[in-house]
Amino acid sequence: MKFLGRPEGGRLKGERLAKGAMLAAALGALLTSCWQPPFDPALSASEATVEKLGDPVLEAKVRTGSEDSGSYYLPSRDPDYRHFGYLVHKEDSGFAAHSLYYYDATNYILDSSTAYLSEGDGIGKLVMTPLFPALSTTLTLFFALDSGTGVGKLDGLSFGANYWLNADTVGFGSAPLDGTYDRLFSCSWAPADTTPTIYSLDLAGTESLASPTVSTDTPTDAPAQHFDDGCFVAISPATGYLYLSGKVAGIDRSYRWVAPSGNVWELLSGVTERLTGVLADGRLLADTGDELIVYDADGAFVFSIATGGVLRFVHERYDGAQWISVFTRTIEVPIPNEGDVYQHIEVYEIPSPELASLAR
Amino acid sequence: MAHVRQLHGDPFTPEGLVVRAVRSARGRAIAGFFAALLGLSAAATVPAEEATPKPFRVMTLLRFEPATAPTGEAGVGLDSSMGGDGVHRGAAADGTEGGLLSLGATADGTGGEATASGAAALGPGGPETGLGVSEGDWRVSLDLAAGRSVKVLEVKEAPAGVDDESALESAAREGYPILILATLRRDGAATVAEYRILDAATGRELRSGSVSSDGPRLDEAMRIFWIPLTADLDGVSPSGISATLTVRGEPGTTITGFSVAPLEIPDSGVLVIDVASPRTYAWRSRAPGLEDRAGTLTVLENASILELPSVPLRPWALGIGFAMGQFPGLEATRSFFRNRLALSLVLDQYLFGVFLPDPRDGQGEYLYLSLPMIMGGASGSYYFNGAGAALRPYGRLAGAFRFDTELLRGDPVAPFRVEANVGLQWRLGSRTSAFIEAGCSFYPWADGILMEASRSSGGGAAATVYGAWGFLEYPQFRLGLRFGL
Repeated sequence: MKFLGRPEGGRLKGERLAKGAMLAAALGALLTSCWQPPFDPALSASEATVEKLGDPVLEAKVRTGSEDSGSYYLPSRDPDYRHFGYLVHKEDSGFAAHSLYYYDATNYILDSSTAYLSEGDGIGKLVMTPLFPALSTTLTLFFALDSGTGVGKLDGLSFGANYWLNADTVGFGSAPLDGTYDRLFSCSWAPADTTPTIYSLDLAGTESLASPTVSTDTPTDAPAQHFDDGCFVAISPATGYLYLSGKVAGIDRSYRWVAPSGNVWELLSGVTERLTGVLADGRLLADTGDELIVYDADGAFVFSIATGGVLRFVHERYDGAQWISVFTRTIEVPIPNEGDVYQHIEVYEIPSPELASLAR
Repeated sequence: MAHVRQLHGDPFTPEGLVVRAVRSARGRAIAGFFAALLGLSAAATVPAEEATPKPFRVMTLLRFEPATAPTGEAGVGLDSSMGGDGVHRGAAADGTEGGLLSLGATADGTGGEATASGAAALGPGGPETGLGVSEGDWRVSLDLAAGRSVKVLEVKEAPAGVDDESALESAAREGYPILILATLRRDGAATVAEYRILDAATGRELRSGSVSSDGPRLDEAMRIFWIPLTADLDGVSPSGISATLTVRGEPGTTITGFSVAPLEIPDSGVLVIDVASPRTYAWRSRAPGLEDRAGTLTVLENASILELPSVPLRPWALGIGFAMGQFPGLEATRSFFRNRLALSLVLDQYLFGVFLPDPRDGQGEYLYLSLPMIMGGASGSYYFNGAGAALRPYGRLAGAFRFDTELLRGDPVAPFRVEANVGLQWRLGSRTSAFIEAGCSFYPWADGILMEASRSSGGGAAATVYGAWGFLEYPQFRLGLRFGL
């Protein structure tokens, strides 16, 4: 007599396969564990601020090599030529700009110039804000030399003459002077010196570098300790106060020297981060990488703006009626399997008096 | 000693299928005595045979033999105008055709016409047999008569055209312990039926008999013609291939697989049925408030017990799942429709997760990753089989709100996430199951470029598609454990 054997045999085999697949998948997931969630708090922070900035005044995309990875876009200060700019990236020794990019109106992208600046041109350490180019259509960029001893001028891709400042320069800074000029500051402080020497230099896009002048307000005494290299120095165009900010024995310290009151340095205890800029109205800026902190002229915290390090305050420009703060955001998206990246560039503007609307 | 071998069931659950051997009636009686002495559950000592009658299943094979009437006598079938004397007068066959349908054929065809009219008068039922009742109706009458026996659980007709030996083998193979072989012929005005009741396993004849009646009419054929056969069936007890299976479970439990129609466990909690042995059964049970159960059972000997576990349906559950095997999340679940539909509240997070990127990919060396985000939402899952199954495939849809704990607001880049997954849940214990899901995550109203840039250092094994419509990432895995409450 015939009997059926194991009618469920096929199902048993199927279940074993299913369980085996489950175990294999679980093990595989645990072993790989290299998935990165689609969330970047820095990008989200920048987006939170961008929502308040409104639509960008310039939006473009450029394909670059991996050497421009981590760059941000530094546009011309002339609003008519903001589609000219540099992709500036951080290097170990400072910032560098490899090439000038310009807007291709046909293809609606930014395209790079054919020439590239090389390290040998002295670009590095610290890139200064670009100068308002007056009527020029080219971008003028002033920057510190690798040696920290002078200032170079870049006019488009024409590398202009350097201007020797001082061998013992420990820091630079700039501040808008008026709608036409920026004023560049440098601080020279030899280890043997008891007091720093502050130089100022008026910069204009269409002019050669003027001879540096020692500020008439150069203090005759000094903060308690010697500043390390890389400090920020500037005189506020609104108040005339001299600010010196940077690391002193590894700790961020910011001082203010009020010339009319005498040779007295005040420690700005409210300023906890290294200052990075001075607005035309006298407010102080500190870009920490995650946020932009705004202090008043006395160093008291006013508000902070979430940037995530992706959104950058690059400069102010004067539109004939008011100062405008300019921000750029450069988002980098790798091109799969090609090594290159797409840089998605956005430029935003907001009147400087309305900066507080961007506060967290 | 009886043996019931379980081929398949719930090998991972202690409450899973329990099959016990029952040694003998004497053994059960002794066990019952001591059980009563110790005050144990009465259900444990109820002799299976006493709880309910032992039905068995029957296969029938009905043949129609040539009539003994002289050749050429026209058969007229059942005269619809015939009186109620029960005498079937006109049917005759030429006797030359033989075989199954010879009784229905007339030599000149007139009988066929009469048969047709008779059949029409009696309603559908197949070819006219020449006995006044169609062939199909005769078969139905035999099946009905067998079904009237208190011992018969179900009746099935043997495959058409088989010989006795093949019918016997079919009955044994398909789990029908009894085979009824019957022949029907005309003998003058009478219809004569001879039948044999055979033990399908051995071929042994258990009963035999014959029935003779004038006519009969259709209603007589259906109701009274086969009464002797029904009586004989009540008296047979097919041994040898038949085993007694006692099914114990919650009253009201329906169990399928041992018969065509579902069986229900009575209030006593014990159902005793006769089943073919040796044979393998794929069974399923269902009871209100309890998990469905299924298994495969091989019955080898005469008396066996199948105890159905009473595992309650657990509508509430907690779970922990690891997104991509890295980021743990929690879920609280309420199930509906016998746990086929599960609705969950889900809390996922990126505050802590295992992160082991390949240093060669330039992502650096990490052990964990912490990002300021939690995601709260809900999900709905539909399971494609019952709650008691060892493996449960399901489909899942989930939606979540992404909250940036650093900004203390919804993520401005992608505030929502929608997931579509298929999953497999593996039962580890009565309350515990493991699961793994695969699918994709969709982020509507997301800035696709920012989302892509957010994983610019490499997203691991996942691929992406993005645009102005949002951001899609696939495949996405989730694995973890669920605990019934």
